[in-house]
Amino acid sequence: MPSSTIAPEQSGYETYIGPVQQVDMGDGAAALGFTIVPHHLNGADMLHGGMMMSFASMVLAAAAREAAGGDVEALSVNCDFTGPGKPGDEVTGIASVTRRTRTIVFLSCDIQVGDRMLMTATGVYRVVTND
Amino acid sequence: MTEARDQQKGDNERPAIASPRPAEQLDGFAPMDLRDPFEAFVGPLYSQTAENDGLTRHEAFRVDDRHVDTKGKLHPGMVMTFADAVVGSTAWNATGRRPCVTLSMQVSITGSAKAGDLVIAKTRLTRKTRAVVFCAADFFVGDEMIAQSTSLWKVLGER
Repeated sequence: MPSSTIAPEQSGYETYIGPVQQVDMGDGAAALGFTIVPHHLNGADMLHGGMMMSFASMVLAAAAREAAGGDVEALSVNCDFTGPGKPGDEVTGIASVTRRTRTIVFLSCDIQVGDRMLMTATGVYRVVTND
Repeated sequence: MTEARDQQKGDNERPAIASPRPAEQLDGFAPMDLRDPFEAFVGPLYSQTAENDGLTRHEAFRVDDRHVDTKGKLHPGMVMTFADAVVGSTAWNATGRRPCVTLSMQVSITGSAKAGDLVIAKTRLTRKTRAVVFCAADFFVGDEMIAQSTSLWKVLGER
């Protein structure tokens, strides 16, 4: 994983479960990443589904904020579990915007360890307006 | 259903893990014995003490500063983690406590919660086939539904 910095705008929950960092995937694509540490695990010593979904929601929300040019709120998040993560794995997530309307952003994201898929997720976010 | 969950999770003979915040006395609920480190990390979580079949029941947690976003609202990720924890035990109970893994989970955020709110999950089994279990949960703060989830679970070793 190339250069990384602590992701901005981290909330109580996101800071607490992290650290989750911004990573540069090399081709200019912005992504988030984290390393699986003991408090992320389930009873089988693999990455807990709750942590994986929490990470996916952060990746989706970050891309939705960027697409909206401002604040967003999750309306729906759907996560499909395609593979397990294990301690020490470096997990990355990249999102792409499917469609942005005036009020809604549709996105999908892939959560991976290297080339191996852990999860595909889609999200629907509401653009927060101040009127 | 705490007992079924505890028996299942007890099969791997791990001790329960203490949560970083102390459990409180809640009417009708008792702290779960959590053996998944991530669940203990965000806990305590509570389950219904009243008699139930383990397939339709209530669970709870108290929102605190660890669970909210920068605006002070309950983070969708915590909703999904809580959903995974409570509906996971529904799937285990439905399969005679066989190992199950999450295949897919969808959560709709229908409202919001803030620190101090008690979130109550009403979980249910929707359908069970040999290899796949379908579950749902609705999440409430008082009378307001703040989230809904549906999920699919794979029974390991079945096809």
